[in-house]
Amino acid sequence: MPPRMYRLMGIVLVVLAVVGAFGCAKPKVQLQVSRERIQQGEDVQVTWTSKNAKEVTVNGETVDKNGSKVVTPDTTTTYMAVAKRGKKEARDSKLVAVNPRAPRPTITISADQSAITRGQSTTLRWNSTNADTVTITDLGTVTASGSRVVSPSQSTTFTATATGRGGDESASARVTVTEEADATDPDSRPRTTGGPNPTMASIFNQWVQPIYFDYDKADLLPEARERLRRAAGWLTQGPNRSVVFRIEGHCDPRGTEEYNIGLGERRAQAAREFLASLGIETSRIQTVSYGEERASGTHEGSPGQGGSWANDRRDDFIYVSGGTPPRNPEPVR
Amino acid sequence: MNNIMAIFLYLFLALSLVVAPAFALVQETPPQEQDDIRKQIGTIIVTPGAGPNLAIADFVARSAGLEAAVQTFNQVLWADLEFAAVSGIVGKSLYPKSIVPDPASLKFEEWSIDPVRADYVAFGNLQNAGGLVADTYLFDVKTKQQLIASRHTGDPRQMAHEFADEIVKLLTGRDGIATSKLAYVAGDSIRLMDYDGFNQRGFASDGPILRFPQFSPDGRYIAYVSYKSGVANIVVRSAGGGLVGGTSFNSTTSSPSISPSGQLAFSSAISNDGSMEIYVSNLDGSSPRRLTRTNKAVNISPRWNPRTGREIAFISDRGGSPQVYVMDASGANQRPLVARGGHSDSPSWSPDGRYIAFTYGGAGGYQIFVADVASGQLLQLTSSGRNESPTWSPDSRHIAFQSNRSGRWEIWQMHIDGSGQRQITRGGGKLPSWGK
Repeated sequence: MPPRMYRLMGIVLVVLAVVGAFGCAKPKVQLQVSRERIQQGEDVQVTWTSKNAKEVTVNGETVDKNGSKVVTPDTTTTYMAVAKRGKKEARDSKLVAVNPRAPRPTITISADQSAITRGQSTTLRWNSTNADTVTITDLGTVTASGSRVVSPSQSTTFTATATGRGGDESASARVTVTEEADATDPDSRPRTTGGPNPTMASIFNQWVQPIYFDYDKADLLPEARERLRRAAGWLTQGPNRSVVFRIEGHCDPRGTEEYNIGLGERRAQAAREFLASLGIETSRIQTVSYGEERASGTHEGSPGQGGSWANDRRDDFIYVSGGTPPRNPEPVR
Repeated sequence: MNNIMAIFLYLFLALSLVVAPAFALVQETPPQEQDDIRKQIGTIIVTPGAGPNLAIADFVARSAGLEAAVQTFNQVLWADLEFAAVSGIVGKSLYPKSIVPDPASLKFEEWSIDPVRADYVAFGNLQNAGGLVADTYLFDVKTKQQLIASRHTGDPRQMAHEFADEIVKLLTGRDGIATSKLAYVAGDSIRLMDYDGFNQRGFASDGPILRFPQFSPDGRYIAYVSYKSGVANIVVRSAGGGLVGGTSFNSTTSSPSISPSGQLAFSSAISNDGSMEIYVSNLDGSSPRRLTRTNKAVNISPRWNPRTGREIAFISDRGGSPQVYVMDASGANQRPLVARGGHSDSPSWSPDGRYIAFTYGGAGGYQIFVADVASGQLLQLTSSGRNESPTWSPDSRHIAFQSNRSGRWEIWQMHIDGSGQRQITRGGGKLPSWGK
């Protein structure tokens, strides 16, 4: 080898050594995000690739030279990758804009008395935040916060649901309704009463009691006829002849909503027709169907048993007006 | 425009080829039943690749502080056109990087080349000009023709809905549905919302329980059932809320439906002979006339043919179980539409008069079906959860309904072929009626 070649090789070696010592290759880094705009709570994948780097950090955290991770930023965040080689460094960053999620609604509800005797009332009180609408069982849509006097005829769980852009929240208050101490009649059960004369209404309820039906049927069963005969006996007595009342037909929830309005009315009409045949003037009778509106059944069960389909399939009788209450009302059997 | 005419002609020819044999064959060949109606309905919804390709470039904010408005606008426009299903929509990941706030920035070749291959591109900008203004454009990429250049003002959601309807009108010649609305029941009141579930607002709460809202075909009136007097009766209001009239009977009166000429149909037990029967009356409930005469039966859910006003579909259990019937508006010619046992309820006639959607099933399990009125052929559209109370979009291409598949009654929507099912209420809702 000629000496010139040795010299050349020597220079090359020196250059290589210098390059090795200080690093000639400039580090490079690229960072990508899967989405640049997200809703709070959504994920973003941050991916980075580097070249010639000794060390790579993403937002200060040392990471693999190439890699990715899934992040869930709560606020708008800049993701910056820094690749270092000696004193040289490269940076790349991307902004992920985070739209704040609407705050979750909150709701609380309580009843002043959690146990009452049938006929008594209690006050429900509720408070909500971040809600567009608040609904409460049996009360429908209500104000965001407020109170309401209720007089449930049977034990009821009042569930308040607050709905807002940030989701739904529910809270419940249970009001337990107990029978009056002297209500020993096995047939007496929680009833809806109405009208201007509570004494007359409660006497009416003792004599005119709910009747029950078979599934998808509006035919009167023998027990129903028995009850209607007893009711007719009272309704045709003295001043009771001026009593006006309403028959409310109900269905279990297994049928469809609109058809059940028809079926419930057929049940009310069946009772109306039978009472008419026993001498009750039809001008005293209104009929209405609630369909499956008030159904609460989840199993077949038996008539009168709360939460059963058999209990849902019934006619209720509601006192509207008329009659003269006795001066010293006695419990009537 | 030639392009669009050609597409139309094509669709029309394809439709007539599919439909003609379907009408001829149905009665004789039940096994083909499902196939025929599926084909016929299948041409109504454009699946990606089957129609023209639309690209929707992100709109650009031209004034400071409009990021949220622009984002809403972009999301709503995209969702509207996706649900409209009148074209394929090119995925955003394929779009060129350049932003297109106005026609001057549009480079046609960027949108025509692979992989974008858009036939149309929609774009524009939002700016503050005394109020929020959107300048909206649609171009034909191949002919480089401007098809829409319009300006909208006001709420970003509303502006996006309006532009979406302009695009649908241009591509199909028919009115879109993005500005339509739904009446529905939440809790015990009647509410209104935009067709996509936004802007929920109260309509009526004048009773302890309100049910069964029904828009008139022209969208001017809403009839519903109120239990205010203790007995279910019908209330009719203008869509603005003004009281028009109603019934005040002493027996259940329910299921109102309004004809195109403004007549009311309903079901009532006023004959007091143990049956629910169908009646028609003036819009304010006056001069009721009885149409059905059955013995101890339920006749309910009357619905006018919203196109002709000459027929009424309804539910009757005169044959044993509740089934869909059709009769002339005079009450003549009462006949079952389909007879297949089980329980049917809540028929809903499509605005073009061709189809009746209804609930069908047995104790506890109900699904939405659609029947071709001319042939009686059926197609099942839902299969998840319990589904009831279908109602048609004004363009007869979509159906809203109530489903309990999420755990409680909510309003859902789908295309006429059962695809694209989506939940549009979150806080509970049922008994939807879709209005113009």
